[in-house]
Amino acid sequence: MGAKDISLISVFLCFLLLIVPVAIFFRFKVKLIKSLLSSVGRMTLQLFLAGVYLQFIFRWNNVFINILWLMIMVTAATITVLKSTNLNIRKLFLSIFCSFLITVIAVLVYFNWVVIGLEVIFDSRYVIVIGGMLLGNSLRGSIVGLNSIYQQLKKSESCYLYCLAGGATKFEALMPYLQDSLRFALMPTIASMATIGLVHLPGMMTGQILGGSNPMVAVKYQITIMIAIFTVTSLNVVLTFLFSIYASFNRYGVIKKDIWKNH
Amino acid sequence: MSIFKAEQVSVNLDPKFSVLDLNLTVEEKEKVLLFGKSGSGKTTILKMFLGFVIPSQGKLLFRDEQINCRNIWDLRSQVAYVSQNNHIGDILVKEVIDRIMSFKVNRNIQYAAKLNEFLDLFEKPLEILEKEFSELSGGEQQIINIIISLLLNRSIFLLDEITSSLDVELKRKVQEYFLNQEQWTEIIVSHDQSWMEFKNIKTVTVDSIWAQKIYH
Repeated sequence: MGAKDISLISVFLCFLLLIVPVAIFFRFKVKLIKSLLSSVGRMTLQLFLAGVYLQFIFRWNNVFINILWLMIMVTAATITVLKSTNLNIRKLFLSIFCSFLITVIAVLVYFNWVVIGLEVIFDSRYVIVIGGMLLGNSLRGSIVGLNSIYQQLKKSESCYLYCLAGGATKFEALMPYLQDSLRFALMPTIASMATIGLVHLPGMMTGQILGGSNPMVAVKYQITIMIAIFTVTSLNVVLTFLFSIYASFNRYGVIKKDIWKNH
Repeated sequence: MSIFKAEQVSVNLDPKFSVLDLNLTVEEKEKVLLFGKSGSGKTTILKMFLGFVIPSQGKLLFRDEQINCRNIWDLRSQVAYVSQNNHIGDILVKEVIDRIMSFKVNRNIQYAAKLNEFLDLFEKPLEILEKEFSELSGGEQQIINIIISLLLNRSIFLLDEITSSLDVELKRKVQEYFLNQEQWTEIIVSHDQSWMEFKNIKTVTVDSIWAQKIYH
């Protein structure tokens, strides 16, 4: 038993709902119509493409193709993170890419092997879908975390240098920045975990129930995936920062000015 | 043995501002006043000795050894630096102190008794420790920074405009305290002429191109 298919005509009928927000924007002169339409267009195109390639990837179900695909997703995630910060993409790409790749693969292997107990850990249905959820849902936290560290460092560089002058190692002087960044990155997820199920049913669970799963199975998946996402986000904030230190600081422990886009 | 030495040092801070050909020697136990207008590069000199600004040319030495990215960490653990603007964040004064004293190189220092002593000396009540650092007045922040530098048990001091927000009496007290410590080596950056009234201070005038005259 799967979810009832939606015909293309029905999808089109759903698009008609957009008349409501467009009319609202028009009436209240909110200049968002253009960006709304272009975003809807992109979403439609990207998701249909995803549908097409996922069909192929599931049909082939080849470990190497799955891992390659995971790396493409990590690349996209890295670029998304860097584009939402004012950091120099070229300088930091490698550190963020490696950090995402290591954390996602590590948590994914644990999740698929130990938690779900798959025989083929890199089975496409689990690697691509769970990997995508881990990446997608830890994106915001990673952006917030990375932004927080480097914005604070920019704002209070004199304070950081003062700590170095007081005899701190680079790590000792950076400690409070890392603490703040972890707090900012993870607090929203902690808060949303506490209310989940009360206000809305999360997407993964909704999808599974529509797809015909037993609600209890869906619940267990939702709980385990939330914990996995949280682990990925926290590990990713720390690893990204540790990896970026080499690119961002000179050997005297002073932050390089060209780490920001507009220095 | 000299403590600090700069030999024909030049630095480019940005395309419009570069400073050329600095020569400076600070002997052990010497108190050197770097005197000059703001923007003349006095602070930059201190920052170079701390490894925060890297010269484009010339040599910087600490205890006759050229400063590099390996020995700079040791240098920083031997000097105390009081900076002009130190926005340490929105934390309590006592937390600021705890933080600096928690670094590995400072961890063994017993400072509780000395802290009370210095607060008393510089006329600050004990309650100041419970206030947020950022809510202190400029003068109070300066005194706290000075006290932190004194708690560190160092004998080499880099002092950047440490009396600029103090009233005349307190300023005098700070100046006398630092200049009475015979064992200490100090570089004092200031545009305040009153430092020159002290006999044991050597004044080096820093003008915009770092060409300098030495008054004894």
